[in-house]
Amino acid sequence: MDQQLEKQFVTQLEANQNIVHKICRLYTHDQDSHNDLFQEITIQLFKAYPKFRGDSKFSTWMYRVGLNTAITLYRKSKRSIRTQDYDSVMFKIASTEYDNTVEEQLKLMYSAIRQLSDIDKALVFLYLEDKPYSEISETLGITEVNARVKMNRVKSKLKDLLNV
Amino acid sequence: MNELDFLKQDWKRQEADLPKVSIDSIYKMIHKRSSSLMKWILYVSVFEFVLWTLINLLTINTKSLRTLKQIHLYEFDIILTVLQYAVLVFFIFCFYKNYKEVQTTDNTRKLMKRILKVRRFVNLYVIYNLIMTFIIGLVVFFAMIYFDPKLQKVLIVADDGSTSIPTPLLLIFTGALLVFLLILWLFYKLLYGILLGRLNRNYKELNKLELRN
Repeated sequence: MDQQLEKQFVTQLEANQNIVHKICRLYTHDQDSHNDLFQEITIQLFKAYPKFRGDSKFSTWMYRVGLNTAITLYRKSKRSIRTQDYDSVMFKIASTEYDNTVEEQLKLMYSAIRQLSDIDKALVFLYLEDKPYSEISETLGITEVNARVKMNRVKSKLKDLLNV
Repeated sequence: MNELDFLKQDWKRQEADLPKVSIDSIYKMIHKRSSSLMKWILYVSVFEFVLWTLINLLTINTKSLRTLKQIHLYEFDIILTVLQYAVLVFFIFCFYKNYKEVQTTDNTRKLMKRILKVRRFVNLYVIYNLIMTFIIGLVVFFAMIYFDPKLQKVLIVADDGSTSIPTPLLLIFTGALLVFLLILWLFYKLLYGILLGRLNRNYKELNKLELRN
């Protein structure tokens, strides 16, 4: 790959890296695996980059390759011990303006999402990222109707998890 | 809803808190080697192709050639060798073609489907070899008993002069061969279970959704 393309890729990824970090937070349980997955997604994005024609937005294309890597291609290479602390470190509640009850509820929500299946996590992720159902269905390869059905199921699953 | 939409607000705010990877680090990363599932599948599959080819090759050394001539299986072995190579070339071609079709830019379901297709072909190759091992094992067994002078005394001679293999011997041999192949097969199942368990689970989950509705 020529240097120009390489430079272009690195600049674009650097500017859009939040997407990859957010995927890593959802699918890994410790800092080491987070970095590991970040690296794997970067490699996969770079490999696919020559075929990126710009007919979709760079970020849209990143969601697809990133999620595909996290769900399907990534294999935990090192020992990854699930640490209880990770949730509170990685999913810091963003605002300090919340009162305790709200903060507690958000913490519960994040830990409930962690317990979902790989596919359900992808749906929630795209939903939280404000993606329309048409894009969610295209990314996962299911129909739009089924994406909605599945999302409704995930919502009730989350409700159940929160009420336990 | 409510809870999830409420979470959405917080989700957006947490962006400020995400780690930052520098341009330099990204440059370093893109030249590192991938350790993805596809790499593993490639390694394991190449290992299988090499292993079975080696097994086939090792059986054609001079000593076994002499034995084969003695037990009248020389031509059988030559036909078999040609067949094995033709089958190997066919499977490697299919493997390569399917492997090239795996794209991370496909949608998730399609990507999973294509990866499973790559594996299915290698599985077929393994099954083919297991079946061939069974057939060859039986043919060599019969040929040795009938044509190897040292082994001919185990044959039962009937009143009319015809000979047959004692049933217990036949059953023990076939049974042992089957058990051996079954163990090999279970080993493969375990290996793929570890390698593809998560993928199979996720693929089923997506497919179930599409079929039910």
